[in-house]
Amino acid sequence: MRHFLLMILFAAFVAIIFGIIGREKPFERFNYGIKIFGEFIVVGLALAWILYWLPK
Amino acid sequence: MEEIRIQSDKSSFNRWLVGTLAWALPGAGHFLQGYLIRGGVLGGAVFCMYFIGWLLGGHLYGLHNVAETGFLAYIFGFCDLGSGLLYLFSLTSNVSVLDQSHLATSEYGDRFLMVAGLLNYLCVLDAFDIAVGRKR
Repeated sequence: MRHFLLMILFAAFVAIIFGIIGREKPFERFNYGIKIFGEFIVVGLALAWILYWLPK
Repeated sequence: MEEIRIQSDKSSFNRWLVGTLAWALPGAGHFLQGYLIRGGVLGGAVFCMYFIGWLLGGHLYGLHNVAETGFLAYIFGFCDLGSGLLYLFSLTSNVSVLDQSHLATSEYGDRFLMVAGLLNYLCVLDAFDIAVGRKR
């Protein structure tokens, strides 16, 4: 659980900076930040499940 | 003609000053140009990532530990160097220098410290672009 929270924290900070730098208008920044955040979480969870099924 | 050249030199100096300040103190490049909220949020995010990385037991890479990590240490060191004075201050005061691999979160800490530096490089480029006039 702690690792997941850290991943959320990491994704949030990166999304904030990418959102501000990547777009110019406030609403676009917000949308882009949310999109980046969601992608981090979804891809992170997907990779975790793929790695879970791989043999050690 | 002379006046135009001098003005150009001055603005060229300013943009490099902005870039250097933005690297040294995260968010300072935007502050200097009047973008207070943007500078505060960007600088705050970089500072928070650095601080969390330190709390998690991450350590900074420098050229002193090349023997342990090999050539990758140069790349990791370059990522860490992006945090500017935070990195230099930590190295000189021996904060976050020792590898604490016994902690479960030390790898997370390493990544937080590195990504804080990389994100600050992006902030430097953004501040420089604003100074040049490519962005608003």
